[in-house]
Amino acid sequence: MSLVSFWFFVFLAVSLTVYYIIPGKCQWVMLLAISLSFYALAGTPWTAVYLFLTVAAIWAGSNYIDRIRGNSGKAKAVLIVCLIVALAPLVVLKYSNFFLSSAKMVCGIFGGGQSIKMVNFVASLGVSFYTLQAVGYLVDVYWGTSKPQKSIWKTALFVCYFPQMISGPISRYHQLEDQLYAPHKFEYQRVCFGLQRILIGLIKKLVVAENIAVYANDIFDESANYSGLFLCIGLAVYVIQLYMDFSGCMDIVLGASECFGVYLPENFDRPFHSRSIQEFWKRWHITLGQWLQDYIMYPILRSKLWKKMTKSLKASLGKKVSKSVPTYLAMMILWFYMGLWHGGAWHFVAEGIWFGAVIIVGQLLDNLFKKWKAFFHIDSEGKWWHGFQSARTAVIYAVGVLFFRASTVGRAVHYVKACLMPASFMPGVFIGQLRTFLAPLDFYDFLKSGISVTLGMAVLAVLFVFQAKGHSVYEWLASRNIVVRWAILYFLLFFVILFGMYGPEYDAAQFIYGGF
Amino acid sequence: MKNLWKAVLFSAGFLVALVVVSYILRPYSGSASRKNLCGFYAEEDQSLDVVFVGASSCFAYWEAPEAWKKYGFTSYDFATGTMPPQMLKYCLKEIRKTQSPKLYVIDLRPFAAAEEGYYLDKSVMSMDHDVPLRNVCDNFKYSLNRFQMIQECVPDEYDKIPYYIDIIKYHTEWYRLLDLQSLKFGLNSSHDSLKGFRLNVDVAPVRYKDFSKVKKGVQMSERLDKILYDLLDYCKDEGLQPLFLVNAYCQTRAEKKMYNYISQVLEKYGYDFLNTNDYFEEIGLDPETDFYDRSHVNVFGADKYTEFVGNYLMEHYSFEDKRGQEKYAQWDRDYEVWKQEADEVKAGILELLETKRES
Amino acid sequence: MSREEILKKVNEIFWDVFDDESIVVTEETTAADIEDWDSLTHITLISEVEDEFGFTFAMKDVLGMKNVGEMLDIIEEQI
Repeated sequence: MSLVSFWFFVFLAVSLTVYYIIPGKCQWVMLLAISLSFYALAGTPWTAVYLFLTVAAIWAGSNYIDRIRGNSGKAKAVLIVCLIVALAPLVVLKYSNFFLSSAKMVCGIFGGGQSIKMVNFVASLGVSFYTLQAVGYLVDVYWGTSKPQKSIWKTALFVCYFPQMISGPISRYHQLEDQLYAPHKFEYQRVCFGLQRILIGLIKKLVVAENIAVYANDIFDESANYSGLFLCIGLAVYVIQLYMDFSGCMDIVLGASECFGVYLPENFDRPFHSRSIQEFWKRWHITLGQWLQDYIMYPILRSKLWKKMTKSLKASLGKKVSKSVPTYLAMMILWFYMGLWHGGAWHFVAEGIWFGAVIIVGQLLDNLFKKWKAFFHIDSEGKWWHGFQSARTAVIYAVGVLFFRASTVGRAVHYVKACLMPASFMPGVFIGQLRTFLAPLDFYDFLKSGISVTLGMAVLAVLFVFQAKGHSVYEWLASRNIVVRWAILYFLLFFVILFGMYGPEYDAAQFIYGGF
Repeated sequence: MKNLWKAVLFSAGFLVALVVVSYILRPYSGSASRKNLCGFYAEEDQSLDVVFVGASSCFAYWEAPEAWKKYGFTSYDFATGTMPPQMLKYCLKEIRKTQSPKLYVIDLRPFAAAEEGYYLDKSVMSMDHDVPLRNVCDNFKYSLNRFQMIQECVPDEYDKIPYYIDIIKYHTEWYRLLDLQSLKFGLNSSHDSLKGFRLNVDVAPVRYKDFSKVKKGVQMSERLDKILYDLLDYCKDEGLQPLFLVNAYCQTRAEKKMYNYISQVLEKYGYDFLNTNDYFEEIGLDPETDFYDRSHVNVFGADKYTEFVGNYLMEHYSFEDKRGQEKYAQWDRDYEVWKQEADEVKAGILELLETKRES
Repeated sequence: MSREEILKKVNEIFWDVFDDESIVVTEETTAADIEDWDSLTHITLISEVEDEFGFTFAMKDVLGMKNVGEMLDIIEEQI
């Protein structure tokens, strides 16, 4: 059951109705039931055993650790055991082939490894997301940031709360504990806002992302026919598609959750506004970046091993090196895992490493950049400079995401090389490629797509203006008189119905991030 | 409370607009099936004496305006392209919502078409194919009957949601909202002067074989048999007394045997049966000029066919002569429109014959 | 150690970490007030403070502290 399917909306309508009919105290139980049914309908039901394993591990672990808090050695041991159990499904389901194929490659160097076969495990729905969320909770209890949840059922609800199951966001326990288990009275305006947000998500996903996906896929699949500027445009189109797809999915998820009275954390905050790639990752897939920082990087940097490293470097190579090298090393580990999280294949890892490398190089050259800026009298706060930085950030992101999209590292590198071919920037070559691209397309289909995307972007541009000014478009809409409000809503509803890409004429595509 | 009203009104307004937009986006207002069914809905309630139900074997054959002119009874072709036989029952139900005709004439050609396959490649237009199914359900108004029809008649392997909510399939043609012709069909109803008959400027010689002497009956496949019995049981339960008709075309021996079999079944139910292929010469059809393909006559052939079947109906049933009645004055105006269009088409066909003769 | 002395020591640590001796921190100073104070330098700051005062911050404090004042509170508690 995809988040943009007819049945999802039926499911949502039925769930909401039931949720608000039953008394407040039982609502969290109903929410758990709803989440489990969603799991059964949207994924492969028997894989729920992995989900239960993770829930059991963190519930038992968190409560036990809390009881033996004085005994730090024992607590740590329990933490490690429970982490292993909780992470096991994720590691085995997602990364077995990665380890196997890497092992095969290594054995191959020594002339062996032919007998190593790949496995084909059915993944548990949302395993990449809920595992991180569950593990984060367990570690929070260990650190004392959160109190453990005594009820295994409430713990289960935190882990499998249904809006998060497809593509996140990855929430923290303290963000949700007050909301998930509390009774929620039916509030008309809150439900309206939630539904309106879902509508926005549908515009992003169905009207824009799905439409341009066709063309981005076309360019990527036939990338041998194109080069230079055309490939760059293809990549740019893909980045827009990815943003619309993912942030649209988030709008639907957060909107649906809002209807139940649970506010999930944002995952996007105008990412293309970023001045640097570091800032970008604080505005794109925000919860993942936060999670990696808090649960991977910080613990690494504060570990005894790192402190020892810092001390010995300080003694031998001086203060500056002792500060930067351990940090950069921890960063690379974070980015390595960031890439790996997206998938068990080297081209995903390459994506992470690319970003890590860019950030580190940026930091190393920071002083040089400062000198250049002074030399050219560049105003750091000026609009033009911001524009340049945003564009630069977008390009850096685009190159990284190329590794995400291409099926192998080799293909990605090939793509980059093709992009840079100087001959291909000649107008003649470009027009020739344009012809190749347009030839198999149906003119009317292309025109229809173009109109849909343009109108979709126009509608979203209005939204961006609101966001930039810091106003809530939902509040603004609520403050209009009823005729204007309904006219706008009817317009948007029919806009999605008419210009959205769905139905038997199109493939019912899944969200790009939904395969995790 | 106020919020509940707002929600209800908003949803109701949305649904009404959605229904109208769905009707407008349905393809396409120029097609035979859409014109025929939407034309039916535009007929005044309880005004029809005879309704023909079936496929192009009705709407290329029975000229309702001519019958009106000659005999004074009102009739209509409730027919779609390649009507799947399992949908006949639901068509009857739909008709009965607004009409109580004295006679239903049920076309048996859909059974033969489903059995042998109308085209050589059976998968193209079989009774389970998307196009014939949608010719019917996407021209019905939204109703419980339509829902049940889709539930029963569309194969279970298909995703039925785009059938129930057809805008899911047709929303891509949003430009129809800018087309005047499509807008006219916004309530799924549009007056049809030709009463469900479709004219076509075309002619082609056909090879006709006379199988009228073949008396043997061969049973249909199990599935079609079930559909036939289901239809007959429905007629019995509702007290309908239909006439089962086979149009005059180049039937094959196998098809003739099938019709023989059906007539035997009909005898058991006490229903009337007429295979006009047995009267090919009497009707006076000319294989050189009166057809445009093996299973369709052009307007010349339809004239002759309508006269024959019309006489048959007048002989076996009695109808009130409504000519001259104020209530049916529109039928006279419709006849004038029909006459003009039919004459144009006849001229076109004659021209085609001329050019063929010359070459 | 008095609070003012702790604040002075912390200020010196800031000079060191950010390579800028013009920084003046107060109880209300937050990450938003200092240009290079991001998640990375935060960890460096924490490490330096831990080294200087000889204790280890609990992880929840590392993540939870909102301004310099809260940091001072924890330091005071520990020493």
